[in-house]
Amino acid sequence: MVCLAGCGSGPTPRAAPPPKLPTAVAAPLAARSDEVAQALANGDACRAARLAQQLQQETLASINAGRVPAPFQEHLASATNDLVSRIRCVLPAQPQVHGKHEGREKKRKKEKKKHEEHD
Amino acid sequence: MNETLAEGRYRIQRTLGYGGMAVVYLAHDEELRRLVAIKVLAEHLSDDSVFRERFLQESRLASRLSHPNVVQVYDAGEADGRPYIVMEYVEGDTLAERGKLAYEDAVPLALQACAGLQHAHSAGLVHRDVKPANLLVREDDVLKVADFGIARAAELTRLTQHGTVLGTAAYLAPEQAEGEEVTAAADVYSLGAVLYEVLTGRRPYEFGSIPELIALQTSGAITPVRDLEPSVPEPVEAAVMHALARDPRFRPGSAAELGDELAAATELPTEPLLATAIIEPLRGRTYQSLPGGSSWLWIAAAAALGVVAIVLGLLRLGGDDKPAARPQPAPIEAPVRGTTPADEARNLSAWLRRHAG
Repeated sequence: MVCLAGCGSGPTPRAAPPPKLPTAVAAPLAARSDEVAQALANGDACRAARLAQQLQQETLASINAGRVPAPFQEHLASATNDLVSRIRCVLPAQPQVHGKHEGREKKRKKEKKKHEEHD
Repeated sequence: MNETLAEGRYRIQRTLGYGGMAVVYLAHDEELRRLVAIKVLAEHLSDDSVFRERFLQESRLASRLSHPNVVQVYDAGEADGRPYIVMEYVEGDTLAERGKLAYEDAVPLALQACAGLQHAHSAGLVHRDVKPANLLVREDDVLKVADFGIARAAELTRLTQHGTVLGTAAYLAPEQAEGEEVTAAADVYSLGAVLYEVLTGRRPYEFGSIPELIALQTSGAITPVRDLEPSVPEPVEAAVMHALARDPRFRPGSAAELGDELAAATELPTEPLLATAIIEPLRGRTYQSLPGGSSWLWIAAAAALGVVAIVLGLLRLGGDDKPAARPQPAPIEAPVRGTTPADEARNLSAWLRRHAG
């Protein structure tokens, strides 16, 4: 049975070559990912978050323009979405100045200025 | 994340994939001794109690579905404040990974998607996010529709306004893109859009934003399937374009009707699993030339008797000069996630460079 089924005269079919991402698409996205990694390494999470969002937009634009072959689309979109969701840009807390304290703060600054002028 | 979930019942083995909404793990169900896929909601969404509750609620609704063409939901729960769904593990690839297919391969898969969707629609569930990545295909060509209910839960989050949906908006029905009421007809449109892409290698519309998509869906024309891929028979093209009608009233009345149209167009049996069982050995061969309208049943009977190989051998010796099916390339692995976002960015960069060419 095996022989009958396999007795064709043609060569053994070889697996199709794996699909490739066009370099024109992959290279700028890779460079952007590197920038995100570098910003994180520098401790600048806010810059990294902005860059990751750019990466996400560029990825989506490439996908929607039909420049990313289908086998890569979901992985690429998922990875960039995940990256964006994992980077938290937390700005340093601003000193809280309200009500009575505001008056005190202003007074303290005025006095300080006065002293400086005096000096 | 612990290495086990549900008090040790599920032992996590490895990550299968991840997206903006969730991470999917391969795990072993220690109690029932089988592999399962566990989808754990992303940390940033787990903080949203409304979404968390909706996620679990929709998962429970989906768990009521039981059909060979629907990924079975087994269980749902919460671990460390993060909801998870335990699902049937489907080994194979997504339709997205299969890329463009010949109509002889695409239609039997679409028939199975129709069967799975019809089952859900009959149970009152609309998928709302039918796309190639949600159609899982096993190595034996059995197709299963995944992620019922997830899209509905996601509608409560800003994910619907941003990247995740924009990336897959090509499959959204016009009424869905415009935020109108969504019915089973939207899934029929989405499946039509998926089939259009699978057959032609292109999406029905090329666009850069949701408003642009809406404008195209309102006034733009879809290039007929056969203009892009002339090998597709006219009746198949007609069925696909019927599903892509702008007005839901002009689409096939149900997923089952779309299945009937596709089956009639290709003279395939409407019973999807019967088709599935014999598609693989016949791929690329001369099944269309077999005599009689009941040839599929004849082959199925032969397969049941274990003589399919003889039949194929005889067909080949009888002058089938079509090339044998080319094995599919290995599926593309997802980028490795990385323990920190910086690692993840580096891994993504390396992945992009590895696949460039």
